[in-house]
Amino acid sequence: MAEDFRKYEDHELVQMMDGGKRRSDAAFTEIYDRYASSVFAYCLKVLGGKDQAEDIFQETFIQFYNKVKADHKNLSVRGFLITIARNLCLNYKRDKKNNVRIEEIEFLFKTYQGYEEKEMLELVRMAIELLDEKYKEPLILRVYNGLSYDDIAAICKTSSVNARTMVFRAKQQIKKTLKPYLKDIYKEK
Amino acid sequence: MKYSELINDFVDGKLNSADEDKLFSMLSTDQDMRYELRDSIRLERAFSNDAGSIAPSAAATVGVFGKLGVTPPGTAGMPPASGWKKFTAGMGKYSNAIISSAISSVATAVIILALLNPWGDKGNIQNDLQKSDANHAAVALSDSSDQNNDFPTVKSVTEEEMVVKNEKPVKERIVYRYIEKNQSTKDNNETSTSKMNNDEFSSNNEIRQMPEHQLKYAVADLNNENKLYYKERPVFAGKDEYRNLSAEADPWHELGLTAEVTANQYWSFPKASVGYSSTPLFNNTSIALMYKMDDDLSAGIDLRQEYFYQEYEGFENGTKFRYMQHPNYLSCGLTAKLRFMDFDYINSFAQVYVGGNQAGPIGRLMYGLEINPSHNYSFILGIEGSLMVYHHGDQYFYSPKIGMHYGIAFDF
Repeated sequence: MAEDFRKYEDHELVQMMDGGKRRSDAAFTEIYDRYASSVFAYCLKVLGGKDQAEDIFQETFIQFYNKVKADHKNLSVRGFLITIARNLCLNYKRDKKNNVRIEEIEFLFKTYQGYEEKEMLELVRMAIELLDEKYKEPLILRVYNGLSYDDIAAICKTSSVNARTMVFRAKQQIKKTLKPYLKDIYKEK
Repeated sequence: MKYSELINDFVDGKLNSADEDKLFSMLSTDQDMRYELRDSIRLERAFSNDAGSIAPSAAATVGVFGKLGVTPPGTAGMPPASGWKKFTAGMGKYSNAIISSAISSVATAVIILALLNPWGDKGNIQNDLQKSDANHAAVALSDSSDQNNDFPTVKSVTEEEMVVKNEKPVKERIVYRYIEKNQSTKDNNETSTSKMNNDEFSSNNEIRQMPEHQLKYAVADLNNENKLYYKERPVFAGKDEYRNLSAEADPWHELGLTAEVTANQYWSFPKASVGYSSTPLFNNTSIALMYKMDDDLSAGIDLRQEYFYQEYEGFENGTKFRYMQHPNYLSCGLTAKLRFMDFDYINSFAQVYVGGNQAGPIGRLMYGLEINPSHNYSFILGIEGSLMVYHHGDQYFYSPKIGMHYGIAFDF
């Protein structure tokens, strides 16, 4: 009878990954199921493009599989995965500059008419793209990865208070950017 | 603390009770603040919706597991499940399909019942007869007491007489099926019928001055005077009866063609562990054009867009991979349908299909019901089992599925 790996904690699954292949595969699969969406969301939001995000996403799990060791008893799997993804994204962006031009995005904003919820979603996505990098990453880690401010601080190598401030400023910036469009979306005066 | 920060902490769930009181107090007097709170909530909702919509593609998942040589999700790490749990889990996954199919079936049944009107508004029947035009032949069944035997005879009446007779409320409706002998007697004015499907009548009933095609089937209303009124076109006769009856009146019926449009819901074996690779318009929909070779047998071509879940193994560069895909194919094939257990408004059928698509050959067996509320169209409801054979490398694999199909068929 197949074993239910959902009952195990992250660190137990990590330990199993050092065991026999069958259990190791099953443990990795469970970790993948738990964090794939979160890691992919991070890659997608940080990089902007789906193709690049999928490449980095795949590489993240491959590196995780190869690097993780059973003696990582206190390892935060989510944090470890996001850290790997973050480094890969930084390397990618360093090697290949992101060429999204603000003028183009503003043009896209102007083309939207008759907004509804769906359009609101699109606008939010683009507003995130417009954010300053130092605000963007903490916001993504907070709203798309659900990390605490302490975890965000650890990943971004800053203080918890600073992480909180950056998330707040990111949201304020988005609201400011969207303010004219929110009126249109919800037909407000 | 600025009110923006208060609002941010509030939607973040980090606001303490003292600040919360302060926030609500400010909200009650400051409209700008209320607008900001509203925008903040909208923003959080958009974040939440966006986060929930993001997931890696099946290709990315396959890529990760393929590169690592790890058995992919769906085949490892599955929770143990009893047969019942597997069944309920499977049913839960397909609950939408089951519910929609059930609703379709109930709706179909309601429509049919409404059309058949089994509770009988006899006034309608009477009106129907009164409105009948001159082309509707009418015969009156005289009282049995007038005859030397126990069976009433049928004889022609004038239309004027028919209308007068119909002023009496209809007591009973009887549908008779005549099996015609086509035996001409020496007297050309008389055609005999051998039997009716109602035991009250026998072969010595006589029907005078009626065209042959009208003798095959009849709907009669028996009123309080025990008069039988004959109508050429049954109100709700099955399509077969109508075709025989009206072949001369409507030449299109001689074509014997049927166009069927059906939708399909199915369950794959093994259970699909990856999503659809595409969602084209008209997926799981089929259209068939069939020729009616006789009353029971039809044959024709069937074209359908359908999904087949494929799970197979193969080697690439010496590494063994398990592949899973759920593509949509355009399948085409020949099909034959055999009808049996034919009642007035419903018949069952068995159907066989042989065809293929770009992946490989397909065989299919179907069984179901055809419900005929009208001579022009019928509803189809049935189950089917399909098997697609395909190969990867030098190995052959099978993709079976069972499902239900429902739709509508038009005769012309």
